[in-house]
Amino acid sequence: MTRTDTVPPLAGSVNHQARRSIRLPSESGAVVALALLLALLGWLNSSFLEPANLLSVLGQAALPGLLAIGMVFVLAAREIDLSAGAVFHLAAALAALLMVAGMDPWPAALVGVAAGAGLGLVNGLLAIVLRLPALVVTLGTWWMIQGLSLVAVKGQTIVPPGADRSFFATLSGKAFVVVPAAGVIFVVLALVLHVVLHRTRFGYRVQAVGSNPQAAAHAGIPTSKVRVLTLVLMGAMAGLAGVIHLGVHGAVVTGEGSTFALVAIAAAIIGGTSLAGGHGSVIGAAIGMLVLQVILSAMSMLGVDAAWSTFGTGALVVLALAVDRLIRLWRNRRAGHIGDNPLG
Amino acid sequence: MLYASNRLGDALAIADQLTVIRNGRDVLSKARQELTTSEEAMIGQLRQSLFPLPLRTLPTLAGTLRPQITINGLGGGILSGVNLTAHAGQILGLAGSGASDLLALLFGLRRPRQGKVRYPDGDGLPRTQTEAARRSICMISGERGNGLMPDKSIAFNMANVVVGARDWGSRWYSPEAALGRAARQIEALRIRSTPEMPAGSLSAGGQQKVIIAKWLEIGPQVVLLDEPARGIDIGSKQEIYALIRQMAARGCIVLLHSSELSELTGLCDRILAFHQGRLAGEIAGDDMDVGRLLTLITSGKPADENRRSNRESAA
Repeated sequence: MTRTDTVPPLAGSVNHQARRSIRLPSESGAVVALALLLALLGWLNSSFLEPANLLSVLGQAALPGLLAIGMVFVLAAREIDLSAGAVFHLAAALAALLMVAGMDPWPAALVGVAAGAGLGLVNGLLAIVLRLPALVVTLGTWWMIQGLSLVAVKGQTIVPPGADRSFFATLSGKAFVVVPAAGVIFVVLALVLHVVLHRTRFGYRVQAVGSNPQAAAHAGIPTSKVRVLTLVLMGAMAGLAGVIHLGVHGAVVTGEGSTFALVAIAAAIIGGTSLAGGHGSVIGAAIGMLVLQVILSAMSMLGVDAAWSTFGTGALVVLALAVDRLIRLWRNRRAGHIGDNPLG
Repeated sequence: MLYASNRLGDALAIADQLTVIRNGRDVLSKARQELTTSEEAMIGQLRQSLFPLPLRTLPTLAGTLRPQITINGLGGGILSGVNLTAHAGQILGLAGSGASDLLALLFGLRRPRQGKVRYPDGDGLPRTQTEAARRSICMISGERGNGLMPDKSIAFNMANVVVGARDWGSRWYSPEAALGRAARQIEALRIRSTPEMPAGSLSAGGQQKVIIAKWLEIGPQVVLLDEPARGIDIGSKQEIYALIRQMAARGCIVLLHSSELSELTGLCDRILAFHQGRLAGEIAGDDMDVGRLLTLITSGKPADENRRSNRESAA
């Protein structure tokens, strides 16, 4: 301390060595899980790995999968949509009823998708106007929408006429003879939404709102609009999945899709999307959905009681949550909460 | 008892033993009375040099037609009947109760009850923060929870306004462009990190610089500062003060609210003092000292007037 002639150069900020840690992409957990599962199942029963079987798994994963990739946006914006499964069912029932009433299947399907988006808009506007989290709003609308389906369908199976028409032929058909149409739509939309989340202004805003809603509002990001739009997107995806379901199966049965909202949330979490918001992975959610579907298919292949397969799915979700939480805690500890230190 | 502070004056005044920490290492640790004059002078000198010298404003800003905000009879929150004019190229200080309400009104965080405001773009008060951001009105708060997305990268944070708030320009978000933007600001603002690092890994000063940088990216016209240097280490404070001076010199209208009065007297061209939501007075030039300001904001009257009224009541 001999230099008093000049002001010593003070540090602008405490000199952190830039911490370079290997950051695995958030999808890696789901990819590893899927690879391990397939290896295990292939070893148990090699017929499981036949392309025809794998593609049928893809086809089955596609419908809840469409909800899962929509749910990624909702979760990334720090919201959650419990009504998605009910929207799925109502959109399918509405399109089927319109077809029964004599409407051409394609416009009827379009109405179904639009109805899904409309229900998402209702969810979004309620959440904004009442200043409630979407969790609470959609818990209510979930029952309402389910009730509407019951009123419309009256507990019966609706079978629209003309199973040979182009709508049903297209959606129940297979591209290149083997790939189910629903699977193709699922994969294409997953890629599109991946780009939307990471490379567009809308996707940027979704992540910003989810990361810190207050800061996003303070920076001039129109947070209400972003919240509404994510729920509209979710509704539209659920409606689309419902309509495709109708096209594939040619009928709507009461109760179908009732678990889809939770399945979609589970798939998103397995795929590395965090419930805390701010970050999401569309590709991860798609892979997460495949993991869930592979487990379900494998259980039926191995002759496991259906009741136990539900238990198994639940256990997997709890496991994924635990891993996500542990990784987060571990990272926070390593970061040492430097940001919270007012004197740092 | 341990007392940690960035305010050197406080520490010198109350401590029995003093430890100065710099760059994470203690550089001096002594009992208060053992401090030599030169050491004390050094710490004092640090205080002196906190505030950079005023920069020369651009000559075009000296005329009478320079941009300004005029406020007539504004009321809202605890404020009522506020009249003032803020000029481009100047730092206008705001002190006392009601000052941060004024900033909230000017940024569209609060609705006014009455009054007229005219911004340089000819419009009135923004109705939302989004409108404010799109009109190049920016708000930098010491409440960093309001400004930072700690789990997101520095590059992501710096795109907040350019990409997130604006409605024009490309509909795409380019991570590459964001990295380039962040690299430029990191160098300009001397932030010690890289664009990919999470913003939460920075020191408080670094975090505040990230928040400033994201607004600098849009070339703000009006800069509203609400305790911008709260809880920040001295080195960063100094740099942030220099940035505030630069913004004013480049022609921004700068309004600065602080509860640290020496910050206001050190930085501002004029200071407006508020008392219970009303404008109590203005100090500028040679009148600018902490004592006068303190009297104004606590009593609502200038010091000499207080003395007179005391005499009158005694008589």
